[in-house]
Amino acid sequence: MNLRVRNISIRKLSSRAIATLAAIIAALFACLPLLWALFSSLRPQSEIFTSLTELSWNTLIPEIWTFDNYISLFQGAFLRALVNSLIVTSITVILAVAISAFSAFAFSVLRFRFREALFGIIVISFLIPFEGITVPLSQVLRDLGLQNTYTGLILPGLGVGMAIFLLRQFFLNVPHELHEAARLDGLGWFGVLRRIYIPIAKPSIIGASLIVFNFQWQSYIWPLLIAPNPSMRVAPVAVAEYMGETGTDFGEMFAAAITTSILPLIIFIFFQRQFTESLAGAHDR
Amino acid sequence: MRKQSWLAFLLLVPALFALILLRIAPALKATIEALRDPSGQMSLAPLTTALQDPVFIESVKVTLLFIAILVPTEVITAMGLALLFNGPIVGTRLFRGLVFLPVVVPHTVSAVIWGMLMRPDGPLTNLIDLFFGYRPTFLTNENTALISIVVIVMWVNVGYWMVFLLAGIRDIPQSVIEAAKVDGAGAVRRFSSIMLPLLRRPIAFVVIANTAQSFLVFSPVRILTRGGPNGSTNLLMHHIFDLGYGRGNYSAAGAATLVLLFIVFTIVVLQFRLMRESE
Repeated sequence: MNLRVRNISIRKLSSRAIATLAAIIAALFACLPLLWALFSSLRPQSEIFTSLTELSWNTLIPEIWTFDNYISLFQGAFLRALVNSLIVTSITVILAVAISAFSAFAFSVLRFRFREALFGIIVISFLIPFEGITVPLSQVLRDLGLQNTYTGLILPGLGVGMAIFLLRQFFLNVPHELHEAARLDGLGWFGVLRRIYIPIAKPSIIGASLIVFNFQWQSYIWPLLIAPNPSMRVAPVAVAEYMGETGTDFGEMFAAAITTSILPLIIFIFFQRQFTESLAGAHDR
Repeated sequence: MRKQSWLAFLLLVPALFALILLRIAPALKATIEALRDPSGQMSLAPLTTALQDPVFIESVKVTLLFIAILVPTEVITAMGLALLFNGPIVGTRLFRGLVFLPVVVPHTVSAVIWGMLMRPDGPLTNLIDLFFGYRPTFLTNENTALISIVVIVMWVNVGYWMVFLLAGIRDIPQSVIEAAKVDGAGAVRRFSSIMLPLLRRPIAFVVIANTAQSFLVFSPVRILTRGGPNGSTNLLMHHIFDLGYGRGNYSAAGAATLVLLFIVFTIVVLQFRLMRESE
């Protein structure tokens, strides 16, 4: 009897060990390419080619550590691209979340004719995936004179339907008594939105901001189409450009890749829960 | 009521404006471009010509093949990972976070890193040479290029799909699993007869959403292969971009856009109905 109990617990323990090992392998597979890029960005230019061709421990870990790649990166055109990305993304997040909060508030709290029909139209239209319409959209915005402008880069980020759905879902669950009482006390509708709904919905606001941030910071096909001018280049496009050029400085390219990834990685580490939950939440509904 | 209508209208103006400008106008533009012949006349002829273009047909075939390989592999892997992270392992949260990490890395960065790894003299090529004694050609050979793109896209997205499946697994009441255990069902049996039927909805969602999204894959193709070698990675989204941006043939690009929108929209409506059902 005693023996059997021990056997089971050993089996349990070993299956636990195997599962943990599998998890480690999966995590390594996900992280090694990123680590390799990070270490490659910290090697001298001369080491990059030898480390590429000869497989050894030094393929991953540099022999000599240096920040030279980052120094030359920030002295070049990339800095401009990074600043462009920061400007475009921050304005997009603020505007998109405000627009989404306005419409979510209208669709969940206010009563008006055609409310359900309008919401249906918005839902259906935003089910058209953005990437699919980028080429004709670039023609439309070019006709409006928005080529090579921040406005042209920002606009598509304002139509992230997922942010509206996420906030509406949250607002619908706020008890009506709350705003009815505030209305009786003489608070205007805008005050209700600003003083009651926005503060309560903070987790959803963060979730919506993350979705918009991720959309805009990653965008590649759209800036390629609407902002061909090098001075309007954004960071992801700048990273991709390195790949097409002959005689590319690979050290600088890795430094650009890592720099472009740092902000989303930090944000993800801080908001891991909200991020995955808002994803799951937004898609479940 | 009337006052609320005005306010609602004001609050909805920006979203409705975004909707018209960003979705309806481009869809109309694509339709007009697709139906306009070089002399400016509107007819169905340019559309039918564009749809009979062998390069377009080849691109559709490549896209369907890509999806047929990617979606099942990715969903099964995501399911495996979800089961793994639902199990009793040390440091679940940390490992799960690490597996999700590639999702937030910008797609162009992932493409660049994998492009370097898969170079003919790259570390991945060398690693496979070391273990299996042959040097894969990855992106430079038309027989392996599409598979290489599949690998890159999977590396990027598998953690994303895992999140939904893991949420689905967590929704299964523990008592159901325990009851099966008491009845003597092994791990495989518990998965196939108890969990799988209960996970039907999240799996269906992941399969459909993944299929729709896979029609839109663009950056690795643009950055690493430009549709080559010999058209073997010319996915539909890249083909449309190339027609419009590369060749300035907006009529053909419009026609191909309509096809893409029709396919993806149908899939997404299906997905939406599925979600509605679950409410």
